[in-house]
Formats: sequence, C-alpha cells, structure tokens
Amino acid sequence: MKGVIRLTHGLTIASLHNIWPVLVLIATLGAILIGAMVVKGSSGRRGLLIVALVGLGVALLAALRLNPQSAIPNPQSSGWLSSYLFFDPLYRFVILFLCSFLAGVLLLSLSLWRKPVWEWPVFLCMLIGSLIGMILLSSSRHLLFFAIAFEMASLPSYVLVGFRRFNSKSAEGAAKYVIFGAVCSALMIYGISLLYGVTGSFQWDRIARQLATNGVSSLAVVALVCVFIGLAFKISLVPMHFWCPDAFEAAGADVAAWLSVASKSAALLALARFVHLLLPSLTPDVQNRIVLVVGIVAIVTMTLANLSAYWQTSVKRLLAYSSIAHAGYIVCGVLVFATGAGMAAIVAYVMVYLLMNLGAVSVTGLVEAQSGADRIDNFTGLGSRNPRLAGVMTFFLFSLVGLPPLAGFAVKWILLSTLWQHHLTFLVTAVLANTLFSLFYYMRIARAMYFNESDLVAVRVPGVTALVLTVCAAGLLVLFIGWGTLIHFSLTLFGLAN
Amino acid sequence: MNNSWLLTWIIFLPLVGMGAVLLVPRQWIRQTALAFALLACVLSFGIVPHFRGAPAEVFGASYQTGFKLIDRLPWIHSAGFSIDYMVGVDGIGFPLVLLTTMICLLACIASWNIQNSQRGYFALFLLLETGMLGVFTALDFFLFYVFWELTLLPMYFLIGIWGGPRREYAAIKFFLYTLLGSVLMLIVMLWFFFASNDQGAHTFNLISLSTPGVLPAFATHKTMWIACFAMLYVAFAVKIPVFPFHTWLPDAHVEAPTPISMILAGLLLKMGGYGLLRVSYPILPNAGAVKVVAWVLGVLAVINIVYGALCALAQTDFKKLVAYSSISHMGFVLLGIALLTQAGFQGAMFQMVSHGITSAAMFFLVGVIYDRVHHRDIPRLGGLATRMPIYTGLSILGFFAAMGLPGLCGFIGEVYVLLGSWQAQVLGPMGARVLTIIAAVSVVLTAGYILWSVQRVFLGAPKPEYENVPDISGREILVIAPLGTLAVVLGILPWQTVFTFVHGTLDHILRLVT
Repeated sequence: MKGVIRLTHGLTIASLHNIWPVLVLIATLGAILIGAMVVKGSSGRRGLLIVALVGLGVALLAALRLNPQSAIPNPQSSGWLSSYLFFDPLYRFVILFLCSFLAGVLLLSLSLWRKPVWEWPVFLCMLIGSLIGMILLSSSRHLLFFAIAFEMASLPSYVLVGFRRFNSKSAEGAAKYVIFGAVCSALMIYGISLLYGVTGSFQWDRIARQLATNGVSSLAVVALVCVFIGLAFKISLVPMHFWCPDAFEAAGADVAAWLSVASKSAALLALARFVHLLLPSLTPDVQNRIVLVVGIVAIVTMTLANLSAYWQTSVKRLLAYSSIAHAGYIVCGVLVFATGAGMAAIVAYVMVYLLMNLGAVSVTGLVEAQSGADRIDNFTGLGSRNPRLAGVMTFFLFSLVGLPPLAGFAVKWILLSTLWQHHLTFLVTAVLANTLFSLFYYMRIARAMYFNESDLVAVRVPGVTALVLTVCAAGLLVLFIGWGTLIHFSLTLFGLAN
Repeated sequence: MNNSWLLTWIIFLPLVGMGAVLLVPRQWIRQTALAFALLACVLSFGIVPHFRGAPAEVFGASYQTGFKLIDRLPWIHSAGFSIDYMVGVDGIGFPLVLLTTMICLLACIASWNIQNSQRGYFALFLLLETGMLGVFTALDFFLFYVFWELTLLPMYFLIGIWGGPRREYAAIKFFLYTLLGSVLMLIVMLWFFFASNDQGAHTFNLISLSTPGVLPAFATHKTMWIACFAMLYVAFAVKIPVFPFHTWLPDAHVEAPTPISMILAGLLLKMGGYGLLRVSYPILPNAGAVKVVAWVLGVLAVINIVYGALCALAQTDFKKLVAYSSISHMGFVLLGIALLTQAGFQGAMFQMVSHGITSAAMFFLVGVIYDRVHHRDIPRLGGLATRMPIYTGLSILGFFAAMGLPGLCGFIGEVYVLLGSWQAQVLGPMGARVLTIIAAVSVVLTAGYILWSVQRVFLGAPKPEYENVPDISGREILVIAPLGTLAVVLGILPWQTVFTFVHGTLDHILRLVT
C-alpha cells in the first residue's frame, strides 16, 4: 500500500543523523518531566530552566552539525523519515531559528513568572512540545505527518493561551482558539483525505506531479482550499484570524511573543514550501488564479488588520492585529514561486520580525505586569519614567512601521523588490498603502509614551529582560546596516546566493 | 578614486555628537551639542576651496562629472542589489550643506533656553542635522531615501514633545504627509532600479541614472516616465510644500518650538526643492519638459505664491503669518524650476538659500517676542519699537529681506525667477508671461502683509502691558546677527556669494532637460 506510514523503513543509527535535533528536544521534554518530580522551590524552577536551555543548546549544536543537501525542494533525499520530512537547509534554519528564539522566550518567562512553582515544568513542556511540532510542521513532506505536526504544534498552544486559568479573559481566549483550531484542523484533515483520494498519494511532491499531469479537478480545488484554510488559521489570515487578538490578549507576553512569531513563521514556511512544490508544475492559467486568490486574501488581511488595530485600547490586542497585518505582508512573498527568492524574502522577514515583535511584546509584558493592565494609557509618560525602555520600544515600533534606519525597513524593502521583480505590482501597492495606515496606530503608543505625562511609577526592568531587549534593539540596527548579509544568508538556504 | 572623507565627517559629526550628548553629565549637554554643531559648521567651510576656480574645472564638462569630494564605499552588494554609501557635492548640494550646518549652529544657540528634557532634545536635534546633511549629499538613491526618512523621526518627536498646545496633531500630520511622499518615492525607486541598465547591471547611483541610456528611453516608456515624475513630484511637493499638500506646514510651524521652526522652514523645506533638482529633473528630464507637466507645476507654483500671501494677510497669529509667507516664498522656487530657464533655475536656487536665511530669521524673531510676552496675537501687540529698539531694528531688517527689498537677499531670488519665467518657452508664447505677471503682482501682497504686520507689531503708541519687556539679549543677537549680515551680503553680492558656486551645475541640469 503506497503512502502508508512505515516508520521503521530504512532505520539505522547512521540514518538518525538528520533527526538528532528533534530527538534531543524530545529527550529534554522527558528530562524536564522527570526533573519536575525531583526539584522543588524557586531554585528548582531555575534548575529546570537550565535543563531546558541546555536541551535547546544541544539541539542547536546538533542542527549546526547537519549538512543538508542544498536545493529546495529536494525530493531525492534518502534515509530514515526522508519520505516524511524534508531535510534541507530550511529545516536546519527552522531549528536554529526557533531554538534560539525559544531560549529568549524562556528567559523572558522566568522574569514574568507569577504562578505557583509546580506549574513551571508544565509550562516548559508545552513550549518545547509546540517547538517540536512547529519544526516538523514547517518541514513535512508527507501530509499525514503534516497533520500530526499541525496538532502537535496546536495543542500545546491552546494550553499555553489558557495558562492563566483564573483569568476569565484567558479562558475566553483559549476557548476561542481551541474551537477555531478544531474546526480548521478538521477541515484541513478532510482536505488531506480528499487529496489522497484524488491523487492516491500523501507525499506533497507526488501530489504536485499528479495534479500537473492530470489537471486540477474541482474536487482537488476543494481539497487544496481546505488545506489552505488549515494553514491560514495558523498564519491568522482573514477570515481565520478572529482567534488571534483574543488569544494574545489572554496569553502572557512571553506566550504571545512565541505564538505570534514562531507558530506563524512555521506555518508560513510550510505554506511557502507547498506553494513552491505545487505551483511551478501547474498551467499558467491555474497559477494566475491561485496567485490572485491568495493575493486578495493577503491584501484583505493586511488592510482589515491595520484598520482594526487602530481602534484597540489594549496594546496586546493592537500588537496582535499588527502581527496579522505582518502575516499579510509575508504571505505576499509566498506568491513568488518561480525561484526561491520569495522564500528567501520570507526567511529574512521572519528573522527581523522576531526581533521587533519579541521586543515590543516584552515591553508590553513588563508594563502590564507592573501597572496592572496593557492599555495604551499605561504607557503614558513612559518616556520620562523609563527613558531607556521607552527608547527601545520606539525602536521596535518604528521598525514595525518599516522605517529606516531599522531592519524592519530592510526586510520590507527586500520583500517589495522581490514582488516588483516578479511583476506583482498590485501587492507592492497594497503593502505600501498599508504601511501608511499602520503608522497611525503604532504612533499612538509612541504618542502616549512621549507626548503626555502621568504619575505612574517607573517600570522595573529585570536584568534578563534588559538583555533580551538590548539584543533585539541592537539587532535591528545591525541588521539594517548589514542587510546585505541577511539577504545573502537567506538566499544561500535556497542555493541562490551569487 | 580616493575618498577624502571630508563630507563623511561633516555628515556624521552630529551623529557622534548625539552619542556624546546621551553620555555626558547633565550640565554639559548644551555645550556638547553646541561644540559638535560648531565643529560641523567649521568643517563644512572646508568645501569652499573646491568650488573656487574656472567654471569648467569646478563644474566639470557635464552634470555627471561635476561632483566633488566623493566618498564611496560599497554597502549592499548581494542578492542582485548594488547599493553604495556614496556622498558628494556639486553646485546644488554645496550651498545647502553650508546652509544646513550654519542654520543648525544658530538653532542650537537659539535652543539654549530649552528646559524640558534637554538630553533628548539635543540628541534628536543632532540626529536631524545628520539626516538633512545626508539628504543634501547622498548620491545613491537608496541612501538618499534612508536619510530622507531619517529626518522624519526626530522631527516628529521634536514637534510632538517640545511643541505648543496642538503639538500632537501637528506632529502626526507632518509625519503622515511626509510618509505619503516617501511611499511614492519608494515605488519610483523600485522602478528606477529594476528598469535601469548601467553596463548590464541595475543601479541606484543618481549619477548613473541621470546618464542618458541607463533608464529606458522616454519615447518608449512615456507613461512610466511621467508617472514616476508625478510620484517624485508629490514626495517633494509635500516638503516644499506646494498646494494642496501644504496644510501640514502651518500646523507644524506654529506648534514647533522656535529653533525647530527655524530648521523646518530654513532647511527641511529645501529638501523638496533640492529633490526636484537632484532627482526629478536630471533623471527624468524629458518628463519635466512635457508641456502639461510644466503647466501644472507652473500653475501650482503661482497658486502657492498668491494663496500663501493671501493667507498670510489674513492671519492674526504672528507665527502663522510667517509660516504662510514661507509657502508663498517657496512658490517662487517651484516656479523657477518648473519653467526650465537658466535665470529661473538660478533664481530658484538663490531663493532657496535666501529663504533659508530669512525664514530662519523671521521665526527666530517671532520666538523672541513670544518668549517675552507669551502670546503671538498681532492685534494685542504694538508699539514695541520704543520698548525694544534694537530688536525692532533687526526685525525690520529680517522682514524687509523676506519682503524682497532691493539690496537684501529676498529681492534677488524673486527677480531672477520672474526674469526667467518671463522668457520661458515651455508653456508656449503667452502662458509663461501670464503666470509671471500674476506672480509679480502678488509681490504687492507680500509687501502688504509684511508692512502691515510691522506696523501693527512695532509701530503705534507703546502699550502699558509691555512696559517692562527687556530688549533683545546678547545670545539672541548672536543668533540673529549672522542671519542679518548674510541677508545684506547676499543681497549686495549675489554673484560672489551664491551664483558663482551654483550656475555651472544648474546649466548642466538644464542642458539635460532641453
């Protein structure tokens, strides 16, 4: 039976090589669970954090030792699990990217932690579990594997959002997230089964070949739309975005940062991969239609998100809408499928987006934790209370708008020039118009911080958070000056660097 | 080519100063900022020797070869991009660099009595100076754009934090208008880069882009040329500002603190005129010579002149009056450029420099009176001449220079622009003359609002409430004296002070166009 999972096929010790980083992460998960039974108190909390950080570090090293075959997609790769996962440079990149990001999030979590000690290992496990899911999600080749990875990334995320159990908002956000997620993943799995029915295969590259030779039937269209809906939910494209503001408002700042960047970029890369496998072999007519539809979804997403963001009073909700808008920008890059340039632009964008969003969300988290709420009013007078904190927040906000001399501009420029080169002028116009809209609401925060005074007390910035913020802010400046290196690196992943 | 680094030093000294201002102890902030502004100003005079000598030597054989003091470093050379850090000056950049460092120095002295968070103020102030210097020297379009945007952020905060009662509205309005222009400029940048072919490679280099043959020919890409010209025009028109994009200016100027108004009017507006001369006309010369384009620009310029003057007549807020007079005066810059004549170009360039001097002076003078009486309501003022004789004398000098009294700098620019537009051929035989006559008649309006406000503010019976108003202080004289001196010197020796440095480059640009 073709396509059915035979997990042991080709399993040898040498063939484990590719999967080492994931195995290390699974081992870390186990170690934390065992450790949770042993350690107690706040020193135990720190101990478990160190276990997690060591695990992430080892996974990072294991990923660095990977020597993936270049060229994406690479259906010829062999070895254990290679019919289920792509072991290519993008896989390696995702591990490096997400592991180092999670390390930053964990440091932040420690300083924001306000809950009983015994919940800490649960929290760590959920984060690491979702990390594994995201890695597999972005690299899956086999659709059943993809569905499992999808759930593996989603389920811990639901828990993480609902983690502040006694907060009614948290419960509401988590409930919305779960219900939305359940519907979307059900649709997606239905789509996968239809695809299997139409093409007789679960492997994405085979499906693409089948569709290319036999044409895209209307049933196949339904199936593809269903799969797209699943991914669109993760990316939070309109109209699958409703969970996003509630979930981010419900979650702590650390979780919101993690979900807004990691989960979205994993799904975005998966989508980009699928589009790259599928579209080039289709007829230009079908290609154009898909580009038009997804392009319109992207435009509606960014516009609606930017307009909605303007009315928010909660900074977390505002940043959630901002993350929806940015997802809309990034999805445009997916539509450049003729070469890997579009995916390279996405990779560059998510790296910089990580810095600016992690920074902005962390500052919001600090303000929320110490002044009780994340309203824009709570930012009033931050410029005179905490000049340095307000300064870095300004950096993040301006970078989110996409203004030079910050990296947010560089990646937007890379994205726009890629779109322009591939004659997607309507998307260029849409992104630029949205940049203009978005100025308003980002500046509302800047205005509150600097143009008004308040009698709120200064926010205390823990050392670790200060470190994370400094790295993010400095990174934005450095990556602007050196954005040549950034794009060069991203293109190298796709064998495109000159 | 060897880099001399002189321009790089001038551009980035204020940025270094910004770092220093953030670090020094509180009591040294102002002095540090002043030291760096002074140093930049002194260094910028090092450019002057490069512009002395025979015209052919100074300005080169063509527009493309006329650049001096070029510093060039590769910046981004991957992913098919070729972006350089490249700065240099020619006849249009050099006077504006000098003007920038000078006005910034004077504005720095004028900022001495800023009390509220000095550290932030002077840091942003110096960042703004770097941004403006970068705009006036960048020879790579990408770099130009980066510096262009770099001026936004400090200006937004300088207006928004240290401004007047409606500062928030004014700041966001300024920001939004300029960003609208920049977004359009970004589209042009994309087209320029991907359409250009400089020996097989795409380029951002403003010199290469202006070389015929690098961009697709006008004959085959007429729509794109005119579309790009229009988008660039909006980007620059917002800054100049040209009707109907001018509405941010009265708000921003009125709300900004005095030194920032000096910089806004004296320098930031020049970025628009400079952009037209540096980017629009040399790179898209044929689009500028299209009759419809010239008509639109010419008519808008005249609307600016007349409408600005009429609005100024109607104002009772002294600062708003000066702001509208800026709109009127900048209309002459656009008129001179749009009609494509030698005299017009030179007049426009002269008008930019002289308006830089007179508007900075006028805003400062208004600031002086505001510091003393805490309002700017013209009807409530009056009879200041007896209370503040020195101040009155200097004010009348500044206002008359702006009005265009012969012998002072405002006169030369306006006369050259009008001489040029009278001879212009681009609008057909009569069109340009009609525009010239309207613009010339509106000079009467200018005289009207200036003389009338002088009369209402300084003349008349002394009012009792201004009994104890002190006259202008030594520090304030230090700011206004150089501006007054320049207004006189430029008015008497226009050739030696301005035209000799600019005429070659302007002629080269004009030759590209026609």
